[in-house]
Amino acid sequence: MATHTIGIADKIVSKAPDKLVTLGLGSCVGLVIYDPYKKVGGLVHIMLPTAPTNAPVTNKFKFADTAIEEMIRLVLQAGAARNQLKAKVVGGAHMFNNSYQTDVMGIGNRNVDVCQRVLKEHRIPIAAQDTGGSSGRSIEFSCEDNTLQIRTVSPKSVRLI
Amino acid sequence: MQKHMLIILNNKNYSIILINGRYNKYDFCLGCEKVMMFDTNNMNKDHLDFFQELENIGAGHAATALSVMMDREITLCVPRAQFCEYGEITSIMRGPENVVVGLLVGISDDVNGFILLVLDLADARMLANTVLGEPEDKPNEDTDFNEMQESALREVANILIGSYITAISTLTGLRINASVPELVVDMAGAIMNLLPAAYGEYGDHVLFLETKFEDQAQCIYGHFFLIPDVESYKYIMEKMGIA
Repeated sequence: MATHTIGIADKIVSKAPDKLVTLGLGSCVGLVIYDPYKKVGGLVHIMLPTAPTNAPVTNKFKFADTAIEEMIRLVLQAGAARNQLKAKVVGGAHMFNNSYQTDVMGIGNRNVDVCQRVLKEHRIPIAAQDTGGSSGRSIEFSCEDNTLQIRTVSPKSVRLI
Repeated sequence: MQKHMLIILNNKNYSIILINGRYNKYDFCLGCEKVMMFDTNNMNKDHLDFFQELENIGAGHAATALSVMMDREITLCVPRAQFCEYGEITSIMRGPENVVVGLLVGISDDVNGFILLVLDLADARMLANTVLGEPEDKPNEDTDFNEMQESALREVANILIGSYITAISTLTGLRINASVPELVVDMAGAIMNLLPAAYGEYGDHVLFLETKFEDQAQCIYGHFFLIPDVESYKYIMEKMGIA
């Protein structure tokens, strides 16, 4: 079994029994798209809701809309069945509560909204979700049993979804 | 292609400037929507020097303020500039899961944006205790601060950020107001998400300027990020006659 850890605006696709990890999600969203029967899963660490229309997109995995489309393509390529795909969405926290700079501060919410909308458009059900709040999260997805472990440090907690 | 600029300056140990556009071989544009664009295509050594100098002066003032407050001499080393990717921002903070203290201050008036001061947990604890005149805690993993410690840290942020803003304000003649600091203790990755979230739309690199604050006895590591919006940047540059 291998554990693959990805950074910000990065992605990984793998099969059971591997684990997929990303650390320190704040307003970013950790999104998993998987096929529970073929045991294929892909994790992406999304930074921003939508790709700019007025500039070239250098990294599709940075934006929720383009990342989800790419990720669907990648998990299918890795052997997942289109009609079995499910998703788990984690993150999108509101780290600072300031009322000013609402554009920037509300980015977590917008990230989650766009993920939900785009997943719906692609008819991929969200099997589990843990979003919002004001805590950073580290996540670990098991391609074997499709559980997603979430760790927070403030307050300290570990849970499975 | 549109360009914007953003600075992230940090106090204690490092300073980061995020600029978007192109400089040498690096494509490091970062973005911001619905704002005037600042063309950084012709970004040159002068601009970089300017931001380094701005950072130097701001951090210098902050060091002096810290010296007075802590009653010990604190010195500042000259910054070093380099480019890095988003992912590397958190490695500066010893990994995305390392628990840090983030103090966020909103700025408004001629320059709009925010300033983020990031302190290592142990350093924050040490700093708070020094200000409160309490004996040093044993190093621990506890992420909780008591009310007095939180208040002390907010005050430190107030003084550091206040002197920083005054320096920039004096240098540029721009009016800058600061809000009350907000304190968050969490994973470095989660707190630093704010930076790419604010400006990461167009680019993948940040320009990172290192600054080092030291005293004879110990090093307090902290990171000072000044993050004005793009329009404010343009304004600063214009004001300084180098736009």
